Amino acid sequence: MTVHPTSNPVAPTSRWMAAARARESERPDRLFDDPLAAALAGPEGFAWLERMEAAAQSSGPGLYPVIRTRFFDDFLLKACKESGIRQVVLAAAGLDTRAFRLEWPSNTQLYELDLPEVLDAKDAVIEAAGARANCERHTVRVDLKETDWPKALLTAGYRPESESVWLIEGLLFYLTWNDVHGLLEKVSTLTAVGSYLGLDVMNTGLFFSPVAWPMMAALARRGATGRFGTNAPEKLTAIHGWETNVTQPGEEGANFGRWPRPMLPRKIPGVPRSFLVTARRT
Amino acid sequence: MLSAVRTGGVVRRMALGMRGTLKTALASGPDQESISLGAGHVGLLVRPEAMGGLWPRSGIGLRHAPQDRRNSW
Repeated sequence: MTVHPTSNPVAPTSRWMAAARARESERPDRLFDDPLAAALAGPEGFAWLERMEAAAQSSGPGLYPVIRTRFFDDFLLKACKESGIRQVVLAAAGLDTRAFRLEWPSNTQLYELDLPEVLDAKDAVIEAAGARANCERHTVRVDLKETDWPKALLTAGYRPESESVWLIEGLLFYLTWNDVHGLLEKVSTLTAVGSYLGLDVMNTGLFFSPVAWPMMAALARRGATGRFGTNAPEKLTAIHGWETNVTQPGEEGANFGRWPRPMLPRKIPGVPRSFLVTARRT
Repeated sequence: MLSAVRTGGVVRRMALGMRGTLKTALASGPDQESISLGAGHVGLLVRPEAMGGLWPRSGIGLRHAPQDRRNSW
């Protein structure tokens, strides 16, 4: 596969995520099967995964994306199958292959938003594999930090007056506070009441933890600096008009028999945490 | 060493001393529960020698020095 050069150093993290999905797909007790992931990850993705696990001195950099993937697989499918939603938007889709590996209801319109070089690299692998989407897949080549990306989504056929389900996975950690809120504000203007939103976010403890700093440093040295964290994801989304549920990996609904350690309650301060957030537009 | 800085659970200002010379504000979010690193903070993250000053392994200077890996990925 040709690896396209990218001006955005965060984009290679999508190969790391793909490598985690590829490794998971080889397990007999896998939480999902992603047959395209290994080709999408390429050597660069597996190298990233190994480096991050070495930096973290744990399996977390491989396990967290797996738990997160399955958690949001279930979330997206439930929104479509139980609420009749037929518009799915994957913001910063990266090398995600949900369009191909999940069984979507008929007439589901799935929009993948990401940088042109990321989607170009993904489409090259998909085309070579001869994979076919299980939905109407639309790729929208945009930079979500720019202001005019909603126009491209609308041009692609998205209808803001109809309910939708959005996923912002693995992105907010890399943005500034202003960019996070700018993005959420735009998402809110594009979503009808009753729509769903999934996202993940880290807490501030991750930025101050001696346990986490080798990983944070390894990311920063590769240009993928963690910038944003919040201890109150409920408030983060509430101010943009969303009613929110928050789950930590390892808790009920995000354990899948795989999270290796008991969870510390959120009232204990200073502990590095990640939050899996699901919300409904009010 | 991290010299000061959390008041009521809010990151208001973080003064950093690196080798006794560098002091800068690390980060603070516009709201009381968030953190947001600006461009000026990235250099601190990418310099390995700075990391010990940012997050001393001893935990000295941290009110909450989480050594517990249970929640860490």
